[in-house]
Amino acid sequence: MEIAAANRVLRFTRTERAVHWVQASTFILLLLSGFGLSLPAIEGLIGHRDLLRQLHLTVAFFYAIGPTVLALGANRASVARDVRDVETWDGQDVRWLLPGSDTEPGRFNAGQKLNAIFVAWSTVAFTLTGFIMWQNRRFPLDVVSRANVIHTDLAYIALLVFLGHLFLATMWPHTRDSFWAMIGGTVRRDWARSHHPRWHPAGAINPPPAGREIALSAIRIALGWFIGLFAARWLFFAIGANTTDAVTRWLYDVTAWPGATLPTPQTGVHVMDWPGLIYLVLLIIVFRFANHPRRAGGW
Amino acid sequence: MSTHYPSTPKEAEHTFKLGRAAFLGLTAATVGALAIGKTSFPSVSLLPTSAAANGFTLYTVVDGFPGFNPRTYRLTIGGMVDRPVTMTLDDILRHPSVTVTQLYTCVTGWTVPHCHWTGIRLADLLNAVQPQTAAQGLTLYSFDGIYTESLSIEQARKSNVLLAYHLNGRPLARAQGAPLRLVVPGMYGYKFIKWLDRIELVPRPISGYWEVRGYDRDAYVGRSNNGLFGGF
Repeated sequence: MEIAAANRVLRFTRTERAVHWVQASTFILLLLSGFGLSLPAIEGLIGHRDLLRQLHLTVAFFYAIGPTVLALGANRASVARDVRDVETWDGQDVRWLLPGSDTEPGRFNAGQKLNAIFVAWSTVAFTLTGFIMWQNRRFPLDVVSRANVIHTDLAYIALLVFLGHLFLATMWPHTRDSFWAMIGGTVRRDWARSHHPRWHPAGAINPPPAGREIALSAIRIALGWFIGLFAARWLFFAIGANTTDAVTRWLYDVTAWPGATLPTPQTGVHVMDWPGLIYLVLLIIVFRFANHPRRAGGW
Repeated sequence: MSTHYPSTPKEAEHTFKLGRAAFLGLTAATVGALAIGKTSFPSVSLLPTSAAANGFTLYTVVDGFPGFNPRTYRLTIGGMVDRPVTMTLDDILRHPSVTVTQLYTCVTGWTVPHCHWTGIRLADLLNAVQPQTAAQGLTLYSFDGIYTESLSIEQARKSNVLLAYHLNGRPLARAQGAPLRLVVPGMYGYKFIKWLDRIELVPRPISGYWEVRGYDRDAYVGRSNNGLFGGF
């Protein structure tokens, strides 16, 4: 891809992109498996409720933990800047939401801010209600019922928001130009000026080759998934894992020390999973090292 | 830190922290809904639900909902009994029928009120097959080939425990366990084994499909599946 260096500005750091794609990939898997669990028509088509439920739960740990661990473990400053940008509003943002008004958005427009607020809230709400549904024994049946209702209704809303986001990011002519920002990290300087006039990026930068940037991003997303994997395993065995479940067994096998033996299939296996914890910490250190802003030159 | 990544300049206009307020407000609303919200399910139906569902969320642990042939279907009751029986659908329908009404309660948090189940009493069948005194448990098998359930002999002899073939006056739908499904009023829905075709009398109850996976065998609503829960 031919990109004139001076015409590009950095929009999303590698950390921001890794957080985005870990969140996106886990969200899509949860949406698909969740509809398989809740819609009779889809349940009748694919069935295998137990396996689907285990997949949904395991991926849910990645979804709930992964992005946060990545954001804190890598280029924290760039994520902190996102939080600042999303939560700071002014009169122009409010006017942006009204039809026919002519405003100058900053780094994010009001729609993008609303989307980010929705994602942050829905992640917390899905995690909270999902935890209650999973650990249904620890809660009164009424609370489990309400959690079920909120979780399911929120999934429909999240599906609509997700489809809208997908449309704007990849199809809508006015906005799809910025899709590359979430893959290679940069946008055209003139695009930034016309779409986000009150955003003043640090200056023109020299983007690395696109292939290299994509490969680096893929490595980070894979690292993010492995961090989620070990965090899930550690938590399962701390809470008391059910090793009759195929996914839990797989999670154990794929992450165990060589020669480690799986506890015999039973419910409520409590293990202080030191190997899992050590893997987790090592991976976070590697991720932090790979994403340090100074080493990555601000990327 | 902010020197690396300049934000939108804030001097232009009066700014306010709407993001945090919106996030915290929505989260507080979610917790509030957990405390006092609706418990009926689903609260919105954006997608058409087929008539066969009757308000149920339909579960299956194999690939799809198994079907059966009414002519070749047989219910067998065997194991530790003196007079094992094999019944056709006609045999079952000729038996005197009983109807019970119950609030169907799934352990995952959804309920269906006023379910009128019609079928034959399990107690009547047990009297016919004459269980041996050492037989203290029942294992029930589904013809999906995977799902099993358990009952103690006392639970099975209760007068409101049925093998049901009608729900709300209509034959059971395939997705809801046609032709025969166990009904145990007072217990969670996972006891209501669907696609039932075999019952074995055994020395003591053996954990069924979900019970092996952590649920209680004595699945009384409100009095089971409480407290510490290991794993999923």
